[in-house]
Amino acid sequence: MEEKIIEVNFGPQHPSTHGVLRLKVKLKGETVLSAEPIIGYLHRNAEKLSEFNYYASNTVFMDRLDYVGNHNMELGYVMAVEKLADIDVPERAVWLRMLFVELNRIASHLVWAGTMGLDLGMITPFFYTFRERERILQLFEMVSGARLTYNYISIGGVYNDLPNEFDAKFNEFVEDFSSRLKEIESLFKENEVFIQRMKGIGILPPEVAKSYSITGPVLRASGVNYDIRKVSPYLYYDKVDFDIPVSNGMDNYARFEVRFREMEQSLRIVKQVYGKLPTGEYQNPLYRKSGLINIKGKGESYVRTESPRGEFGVYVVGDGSKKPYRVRIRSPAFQNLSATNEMVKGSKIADMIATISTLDPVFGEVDR
Amino acid sequence: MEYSILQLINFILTYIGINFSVYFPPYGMLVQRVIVDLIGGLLIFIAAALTIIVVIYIFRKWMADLQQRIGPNRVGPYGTLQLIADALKMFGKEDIIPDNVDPLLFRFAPYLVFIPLILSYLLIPYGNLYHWDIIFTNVNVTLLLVIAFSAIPPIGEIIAGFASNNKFSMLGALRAAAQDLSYEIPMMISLIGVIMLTGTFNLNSISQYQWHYIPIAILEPIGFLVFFVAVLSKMAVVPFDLPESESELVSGFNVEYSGLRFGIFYLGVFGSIFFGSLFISTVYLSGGSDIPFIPGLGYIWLLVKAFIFTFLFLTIWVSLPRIRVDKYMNFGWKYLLPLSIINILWTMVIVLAMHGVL
Repeated sequence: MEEKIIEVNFGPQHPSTHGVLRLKVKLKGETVLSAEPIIGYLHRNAEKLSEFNYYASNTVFMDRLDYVGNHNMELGYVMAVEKLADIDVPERAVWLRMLFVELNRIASHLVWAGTMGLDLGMITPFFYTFRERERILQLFEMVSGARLTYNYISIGGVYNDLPNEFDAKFNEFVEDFSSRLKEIESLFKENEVFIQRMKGIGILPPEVAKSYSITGPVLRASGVNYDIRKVSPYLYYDKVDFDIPVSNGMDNYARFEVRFREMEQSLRIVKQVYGKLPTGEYQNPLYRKSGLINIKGKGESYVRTESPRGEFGVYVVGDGSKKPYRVRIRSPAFQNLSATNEMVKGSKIADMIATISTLDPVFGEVDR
Repeated sequence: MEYSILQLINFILTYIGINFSVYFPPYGMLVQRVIVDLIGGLLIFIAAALTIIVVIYIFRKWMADLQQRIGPNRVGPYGTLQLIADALKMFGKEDIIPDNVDPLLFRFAPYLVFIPLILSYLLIPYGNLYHWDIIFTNVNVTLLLVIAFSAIPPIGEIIAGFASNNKFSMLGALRAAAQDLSYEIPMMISLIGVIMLTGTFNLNSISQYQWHYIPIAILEPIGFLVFFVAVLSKMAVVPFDLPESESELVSGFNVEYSGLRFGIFYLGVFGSIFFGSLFISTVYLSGGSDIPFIPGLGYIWLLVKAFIFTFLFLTIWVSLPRIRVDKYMNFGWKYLLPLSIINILWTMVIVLAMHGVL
């Protein structure tokens, strides 16, 4: 009997494509011959829309890029505009930004851990990770009033200072998060079936990763020590102690491991930042309220930051008016997704799903 | 004095005046017998449907507990009526039959999954309650019948997958076929050990044998283990829910099903979980025989054991990831099958020792 090659469309309405990824998959039995990612189902034109709005209004679009790591998205754009228009940021605001960006990184990785479990058929860890994420979201809600699209980091500082009840909630979170993190990790790690599903699957050698310009935890899991926070420190990353977790495993398990270590490091940063928080202004007084509309920029600027998914770059060109002439976003998730075919070729369907989930794409950012 | 439940039904019927056997001596007896059997069948159907509802409720609450949620708590006291609300919703749905499916097979497949399951509920000896044995079928080959009935649902799944004319369903159906082969053989071979020990195919005699001697789970730990894993795969729940595998094949063989037909598949899963628990406690843990020193409560004792197994299966469902297809087949053929054969050798040793040969 002749074996037939079937072509299947995974998605865009598929429970484990993390949104609206469509994969054109060629299957021979259960084996994946090739997988071609097709994107564009969540395209909202963020780059072009930014050209029609004031500099300050555009942070709203950035929020909707990577909707699980919003603070990081805001930060990239805001820093690019500040560089373009030469805006000073008060010291307290920088520390506050760092605090929330790192908390956001933890929240983002928690979402990833939960959904990765779902992709493997484990339902329970999802609820554990979302319980922890909920506590971080409550902190965000306290300062910004929103739970998903915060619009907290604004040009010249941050939107709001820490409220009085923040301290108690924050300390409560920091105190038991590391033990909770161990609990969540053990849900995965102490499971033989999980390890069988992850070890040696979705191999991404460092040369291939570099050639696809993959960044973030995926690259670091391939054994390349590259993190913007260390390579070209922004904010005050040079003033805090933290390590960059790197693994030489190159497989799904290495990516799992790197992300969990990263959460630990982020917690370490958060603790240090909260201890070093100076008093003073949280927003440059020139750019409060109506001052935000009058920002003008001329020239161009590029800022790269380390978002939970990798190197997030924002390129802003100003022509001297109140609106940017061009905004271009370098999306890490988009770059990471481009290596899908390399990683899943020849594996089984189930492994393909697991591999995509360890790439952790967020489609708001991929499609922009 | 022990009576079967069917005799009890006959007794009640006679008491309220329905007794055909006195009217036309040769045929009336037959008519009476058929009526009694029908009532018995109806009873077991209702009981099975009720236990499925209970199992689903327990599953939801237990799963919620393990996941630090509350679970259903709105409809009825403690959410007990949630399932009835769900069932009503399912009844109200349109029965969608997509254009390109094979309409006859598409309609037929859910029944092929569900009816054998309900029939196999008839075969379990439910032990005794007071003086009455709750046994509906007491032929010599109940064990074989259970195996035969349990072999039909996977065929229903395969038919559902092929008839749906959907690539995901097709993959699910292929997985169902592959999985069926890998667990069914070790399952039957491990049951051979039980038959060798007890020398009978009758489930009632098997459970009685264990009450007289010792539960077979203790005599044959390897066989028990193999059978437990095989039953787990039989139910097709996580970690062995390969035909369904929601995150890979969307919903596997039942992608195209909706409304009541989907509901039948859904009930089938939970029905088979409870049936598996009943069966494994009957065959390996002396089933519905008396509680030691307390006669007359065998039925309750069976339910206790069955629910312990149900909780175990549900906990496994909630806590494990799905195993990969090829790894599962490896596991079935390379570990379960040899283990079940080792179990037979071990049983031989036991039997010989019992007969004083060794």
